Amino acid sequence: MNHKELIAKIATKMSIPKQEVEKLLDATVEACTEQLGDGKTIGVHSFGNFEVRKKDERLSVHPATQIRTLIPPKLVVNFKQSNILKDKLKNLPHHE
Amino acid sequence: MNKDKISSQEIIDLVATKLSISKRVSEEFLKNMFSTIEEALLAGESVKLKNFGTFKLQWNEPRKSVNVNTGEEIVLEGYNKITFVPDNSLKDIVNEPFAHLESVVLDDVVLEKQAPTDPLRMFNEQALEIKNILSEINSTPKSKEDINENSAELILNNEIDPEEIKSEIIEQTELTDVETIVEPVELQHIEHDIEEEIIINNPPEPVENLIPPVEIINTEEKNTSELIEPKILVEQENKEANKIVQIIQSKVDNDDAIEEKFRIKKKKLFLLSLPFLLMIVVGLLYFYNLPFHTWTNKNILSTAVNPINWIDNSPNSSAPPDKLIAQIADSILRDSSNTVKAVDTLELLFQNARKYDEFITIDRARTLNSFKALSEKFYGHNAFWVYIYEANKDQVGDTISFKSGTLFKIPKIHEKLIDLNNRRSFEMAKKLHAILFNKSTVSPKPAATAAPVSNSMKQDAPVAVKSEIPTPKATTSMATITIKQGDRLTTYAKKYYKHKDFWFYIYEANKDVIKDPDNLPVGMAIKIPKLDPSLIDVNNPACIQKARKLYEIYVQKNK
Repeated sequence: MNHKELIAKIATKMSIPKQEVEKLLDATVEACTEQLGDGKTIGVHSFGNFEVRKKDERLSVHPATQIRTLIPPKLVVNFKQSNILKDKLKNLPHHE
Repeated sequence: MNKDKISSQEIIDLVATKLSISKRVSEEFLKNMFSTIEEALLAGESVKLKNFGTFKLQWNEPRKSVNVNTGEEIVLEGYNKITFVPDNSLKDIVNEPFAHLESVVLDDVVLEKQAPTDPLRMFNEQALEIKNILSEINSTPKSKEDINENSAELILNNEIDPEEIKSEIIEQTELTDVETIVEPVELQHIEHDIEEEIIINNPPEPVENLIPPVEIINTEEKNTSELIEPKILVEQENKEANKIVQIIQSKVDNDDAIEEKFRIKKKKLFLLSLPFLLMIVVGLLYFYNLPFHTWTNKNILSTAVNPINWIDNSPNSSAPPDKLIAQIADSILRDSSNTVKAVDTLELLFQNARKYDEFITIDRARTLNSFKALSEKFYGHNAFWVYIYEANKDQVGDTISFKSGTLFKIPKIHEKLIDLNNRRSFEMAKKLHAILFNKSTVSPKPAATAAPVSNSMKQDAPVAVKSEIPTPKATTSMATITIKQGDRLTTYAKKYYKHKDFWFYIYEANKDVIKDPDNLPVGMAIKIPKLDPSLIDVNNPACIQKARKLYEIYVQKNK
């Protein structure tokens, strides 16, 4: 499901025009991005937590050429699902 | 990094203020949004949100594990998990504090070293192989040669032999002759003795009897002598025959020897030419290798120079040896003219090329230390910061520290001057440093003092203004706006400059009014400065980076 499909679905669910939904969605995404950019953790109830984690610097060795490279530390967004969502997922049939 | 957690409520508030809608609507929307995402995920779909990321359902396979307490093997059941892969834009935003860091390759030098050694090693191996083969070839003919030499010696002995044999034979014959001469005498003596004995033994015998025995003796004498003489003759004849046979044999041997001599000569020639061939091959092989190249060059040149000198000196024999040495020295100097030339070009560059017409970029620096950082960034080593300093000398003056955010040109320097592998380029940089800082009266120590930062950017504006450089702090403003609820500088930046990262320019222009860029008071009027289009080129990543760097500097300052 991509962005447009999501918008369409929310629009039908809330029975409001798509443009409105798009505006809202963009605003939400932007708000979330800003907060994450400030290093804050966003907790969405019954869904999960978005948090920024620091990955320490590390030394990587290229297996073929043996070139050692120092990878600098970086900040990444991590999503951890809430227990409520986890329980819901447990009921899912195993596919594949 | 602050670990404070915000709940969905705050997001709801933010969205509400941003779009100036009621919180109830935004709350409803947020709930619906996450529920739809959840539904889609539960249906096994992945959900993609533009500029945010992708949610995916991931099935984790069941796996075996061991209960830590009991040591029993347990099977962890497979489970579904929602993974979130952030979008690149979100990644960049989050990683902003560390965006300037780049991965460093630690030992690419090893790789570079390995590459050139390979052909060398190959050459060496080849040379070794050739040597081995040649030594093998040499060793086998040597043994043959030894044998030949032995035979030659034998032949030589034979050559000598006939004469010796002849003389020996002559001696022998003489000796035998003498013996034959001597022997009969002895025999006669013996016979005489016998006679006398007989005479002595027979004193009463008559005189008549005395005569016949003598006769007998004489006959006997004659007989014996006759008997001995033919024997000697036979011996002599035999010896002569032997002699002839030996002479004939030696002659035959001589013929063989001559033939073999030719063979040996041929082989010797071949053996003599082999080392020369070896030398040529090895020389050719090493000619293409650098260390040997110089070595051979020197040798060749020295050897080549010497005969000329000798020829020169031969007419005027009075030339002192000192002159000769001087000539050789000159010639050697001429040989090394290549390196001298290289040095010259570097020096020429050092003397002439520092006009700084071309520039890579412009960047911001606070102290001379920042110059070093810039130098490391653009030239690969901080030793070359003097060039940046020189290029911006008119702006910097004698001061060590300057107002924050002053823009500096990063000059384009000839690559030879900033050659990291050339020690001379470092020396040049040091020299320049000495020249620059001995001249200046202040004699600043770049690392010594940190810059006191002035807060008002407007004062910096005239300093930073340059003909070629776009000015970020132009006084003319595009528009004046009043801040509404939930507005951020980034929103204005996006609105007016098409990219939110340029928000810092707005902040700079309104620094006197805005106290905290993160918390704008509602209803405040701010100016949107008119910026040079080249400074806020959205398509140019350098512009965005610069804007971010400005913000970083600001953050560092406030810390």
